[in-house]
Amino acid sequence: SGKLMTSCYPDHVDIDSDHTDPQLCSLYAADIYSNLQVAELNRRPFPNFMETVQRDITQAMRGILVDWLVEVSEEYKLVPDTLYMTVYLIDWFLCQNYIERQRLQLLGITCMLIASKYEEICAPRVEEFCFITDNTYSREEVLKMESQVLKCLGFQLFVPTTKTFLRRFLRAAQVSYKSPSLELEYL
Amino acid sequence: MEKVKDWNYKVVEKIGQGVFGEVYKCLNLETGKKVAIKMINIQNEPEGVPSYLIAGVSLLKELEHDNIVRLLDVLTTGRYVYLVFEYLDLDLGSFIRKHTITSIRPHIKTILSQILVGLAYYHSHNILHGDLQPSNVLIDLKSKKVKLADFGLTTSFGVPHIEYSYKEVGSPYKAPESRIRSSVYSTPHDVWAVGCIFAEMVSGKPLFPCGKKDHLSLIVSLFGKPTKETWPGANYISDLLHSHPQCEPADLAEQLLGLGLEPPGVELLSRMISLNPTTRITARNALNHPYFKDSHSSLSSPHYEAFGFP
Repeated sequence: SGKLMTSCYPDHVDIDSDHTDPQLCSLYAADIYSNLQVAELNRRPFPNFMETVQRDITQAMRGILVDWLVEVSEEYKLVPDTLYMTVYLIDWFLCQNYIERQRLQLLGITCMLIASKYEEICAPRVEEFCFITDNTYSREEVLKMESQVLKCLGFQLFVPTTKTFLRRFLRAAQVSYKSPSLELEYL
Repeated sequence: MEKVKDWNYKVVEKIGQGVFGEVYKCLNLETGKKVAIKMINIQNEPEGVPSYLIAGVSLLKELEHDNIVRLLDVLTTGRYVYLVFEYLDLDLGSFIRKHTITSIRPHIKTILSQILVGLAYYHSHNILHGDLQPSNVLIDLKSKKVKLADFGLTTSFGVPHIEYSYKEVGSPYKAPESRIRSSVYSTPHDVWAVGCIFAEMVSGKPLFPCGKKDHLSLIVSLFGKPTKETWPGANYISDLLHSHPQCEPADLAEQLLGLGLEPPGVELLSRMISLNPTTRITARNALNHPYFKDSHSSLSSPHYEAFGFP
């Protein structure tokens, strides 16, 4: 029943025209993505939180933290969505809460714990996140931070990240390929 | 539960016991409005806030629609999480049990269309309901509004989404494809459940009752033995089907017509419970079905009109 919808541009292929695979959700795809774009704008962290909210940490420290979290996500074989979400949770928390540099790494692993619980089929355990910090923080500290982050976000964790849109853009970009590029597929 | 006093709620009575916790009917002392508060104990969770709660609550937070029960607030103490929902007096299951099919008949279109509007909203927000059944469809008699309730089984799906390993939950509203391990678990699954609910409103009894016979046998006795054509995924469960005797499909259409369902209604239902998920109608397309065409004026909900479909 997949009939090509008429596109406004004659040379463009409508990537939502395949209605035979329910997993592509082609009938809802356009709506889903327009809702995601609204959500993205609503939930964008303020770009100037480092100057306005934070006094003890710097951009450079945030950069080091994110680089380290990339390594942690590789170590525990986490899906990319978890990593993207972790960074979003950190930024969102930092927009609204002052934090001392000694606790920045605690915030980092806690956000990764929360994102793992949201995204992963099997999230690493709290102990594993403590271990990766050389046990700088205790289980109790992580769990307390978890409830603080969840409270700050009001449990509203869902956010479209770069990864969310990348998936669709890649689908559009690959439409003229005869077979999908594996490198792009696994991005 | 005493703790909710601190947030200005008064407990009226316990109304339910779910898998994940107890549900209480409460009164918001500031607004005077009734709410349902679900209390979830997390003090014995070694890994902190459980993942089903993190994923479930954040999805519920995304759902803001007139035909969906609203999650009003999330309250936390170290030991408990309290989910504060809108309260509605009646669920569709009790409504069907308490009324005769002739008295339900005039309300079917209104109820069904509101269920579909709510479901189309779920699906256009990348969310599956996953547990639609009459007890999860709530009715406000005064405003004649129908709202989908959900207590934590929703699943977010990507476009396209990674295959979702489906946990077998014994519900008679599950679509047949959910019986196939690692099968496509997507929006058609919810539409099947709406089809079952539709049939139940017409006949006054579940389409696939729990109990005596297993779900698959019931499906086989209704549709006849599936073939590659009627159900392309059926070869995955051919072992299971092998033991089933060949049988003629039951004439459901005849039965439903006999119960007073108009022919367009029978047609719509057959498209909702199509065995093949890829040919099953979507919630949005179902709303444009001729069955609803003559009913615009009689629908009491203005939201049906407000929720425009291209």
